[in-house]
Amino acid sequence: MFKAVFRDARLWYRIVDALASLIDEGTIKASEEGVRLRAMDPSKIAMIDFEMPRDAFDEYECDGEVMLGLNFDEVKKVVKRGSAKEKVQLEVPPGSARLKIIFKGKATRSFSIPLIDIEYEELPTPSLSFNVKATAMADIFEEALKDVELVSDYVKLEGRSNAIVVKGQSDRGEVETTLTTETGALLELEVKEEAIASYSLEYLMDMITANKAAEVVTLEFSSGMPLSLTFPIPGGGTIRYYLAPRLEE
Amino acid sequence: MIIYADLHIHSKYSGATSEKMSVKELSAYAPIKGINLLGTGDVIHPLWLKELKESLEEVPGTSLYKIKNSQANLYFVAQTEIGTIHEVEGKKRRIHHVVLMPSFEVAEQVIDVFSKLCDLEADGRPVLAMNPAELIEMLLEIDSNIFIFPAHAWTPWWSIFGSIGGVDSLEECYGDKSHKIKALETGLSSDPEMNWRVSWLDRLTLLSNSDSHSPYPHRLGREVNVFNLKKPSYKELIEAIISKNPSKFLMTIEVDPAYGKYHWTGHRKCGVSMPPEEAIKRGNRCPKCGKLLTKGVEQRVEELADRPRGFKPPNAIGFKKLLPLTEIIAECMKIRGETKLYSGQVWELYMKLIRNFDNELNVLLNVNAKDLEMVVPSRIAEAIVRVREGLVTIRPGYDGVYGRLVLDVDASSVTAKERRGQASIMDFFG
Repeated sequence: MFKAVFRDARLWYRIVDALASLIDEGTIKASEEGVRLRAMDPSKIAMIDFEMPRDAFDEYECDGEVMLGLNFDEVKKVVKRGSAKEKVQLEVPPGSARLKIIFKGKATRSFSIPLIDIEYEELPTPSLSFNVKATAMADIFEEALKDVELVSDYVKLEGRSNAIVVKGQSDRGEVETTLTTETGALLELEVKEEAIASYSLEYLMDMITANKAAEVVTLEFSSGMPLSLTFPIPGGGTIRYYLAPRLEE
Repeated sequence: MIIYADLHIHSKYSGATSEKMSVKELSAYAPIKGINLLGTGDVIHPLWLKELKESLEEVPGTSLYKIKNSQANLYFVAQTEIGTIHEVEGKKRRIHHVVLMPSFEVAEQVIDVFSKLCDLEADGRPVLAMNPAELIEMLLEIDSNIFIFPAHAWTPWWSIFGSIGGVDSLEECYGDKSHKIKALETGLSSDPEMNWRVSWLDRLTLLSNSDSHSPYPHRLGREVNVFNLKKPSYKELIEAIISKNPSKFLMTIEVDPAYGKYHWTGHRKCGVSMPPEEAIKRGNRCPKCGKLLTKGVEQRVEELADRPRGFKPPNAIGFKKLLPLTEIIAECMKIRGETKLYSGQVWELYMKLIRNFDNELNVLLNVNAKDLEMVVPSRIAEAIVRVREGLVTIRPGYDGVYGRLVLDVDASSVTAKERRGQASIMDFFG
């Protein structure tokens, strides 16, 4: 049996939207501690690690471990119907193979969708140590990515002692955005060693969808290593993405 | 002259059809798709026929039509689809038939006769309570040049061999008029290779058409027939179909049958789908709710097949498998959901390709990767070539749900070099 009530149905939609940006199907594991989803995208280039502790919910009940195999496109369609003035209740009754999604506001609206059978795979955490860590305003980082999109399919991130530089370059042109703590674009910057790495912009644009659920994003990377993007969800929980780097020719 | 022919569509007067199914829209989108011969659809709907007569004029001596006062290289052939309901062994059989006619005047004669049997204005696709053999007899009595073939032959609900409304042989459907049937439309969920497994279909010519309900190029011409005709005419077209002469009938262009809405067996409500073997093992019952599954085309072909997979009859017309270009672009851009094919971003890239390379079929069939990359991001160019070469996987459609293109299946086994310089996150697991 699983039941959880989240305070803001609109914010819940934004979280689901962020998960659906990378994966079509996946299994959310609910336990007494809270819910967690760790999954790779079909091409195994990126990974998502979503967790929300039980305290982040208004109400939370879970008997043992409950696996919620979901088609995220389908879930997204339903949770899109929720508004910020409504709470959302997620529920799997004992022995049921369906997820009930109930919006509670002036009216109570109840949906039920089938859970799907997906083989659950416990994924390990990538073994990474990062030389650059920066917390940026998520909307400013998104604008920098959109600028790069005008000229290239790839983005080059540079971690300098005093700034993060977001660059794009191709035959179509060049673009560069500098983010610093002085201008307020960065809230924090820690650079153990200067680093430079390239990443697929297509994936980053999908991941930045999560900025609708979080105001800031923490970027962590090292030269030639994956990028970690962590979006803290207001009230508790995080959406973290890992993106493998482009390999230099 | 090479003719790309979509011989089965509908007008705005058929149920569940786009309001935009007008001559104006069709004549705008057909060239974008790369089609130069189009069935009129619903030609025995009196209001639609009136519109057709106002917009089109016969190309003298051809029994085909073109848009009045236009230089556009687009022919139309008078065409409709008719449904019949009859009973075999106490069970109702619901079957759709495509009908081609040599002129609008013949269509008017058909209207005269059939309007006594049903209200032809009620729907562009009339349904008659009669045996299909009677239908053939009535139509050929009006004009012996009328050409009839079963529509989307394997789809469950309204087709000759459909698992729900169909029969098990041509004779059960057309009786003593079976010999008048010279062709069969394979439908989206089956391709010629699947039909080649049924030996008694060898005498028929396999046709592929869109049965489109919308003028947009992801629907219109998603399946077409490619002919090489000296001077396009109704007579030469029908002769090319009947003769199966490979110098006249070059090939059909198909979507991958898995893309079709009824390829696998499944239950839409529960989101369950499966291949024939598994469905048979489960007694055709949904593992979630226990209700009967909607039997898909692959399973139905398996039931009637008398040859192994991979058999090719000696006189078979060849085919190529493609997918709508907007599907490929949307999947590359990870734009999903029901409205993905109407997305502004998808459409913008689509039109960029059309502006550079004339039409969609040319893009899908002929333009090389290097030229495509000059116009669209490399991942889209690559995907177009991979679809052309058959190097993609389709998550099969079932119970009314379209199949879905999966570009990155088995990517875990692809090396970083093959991924063109992209590492995998698995390379960094501890």
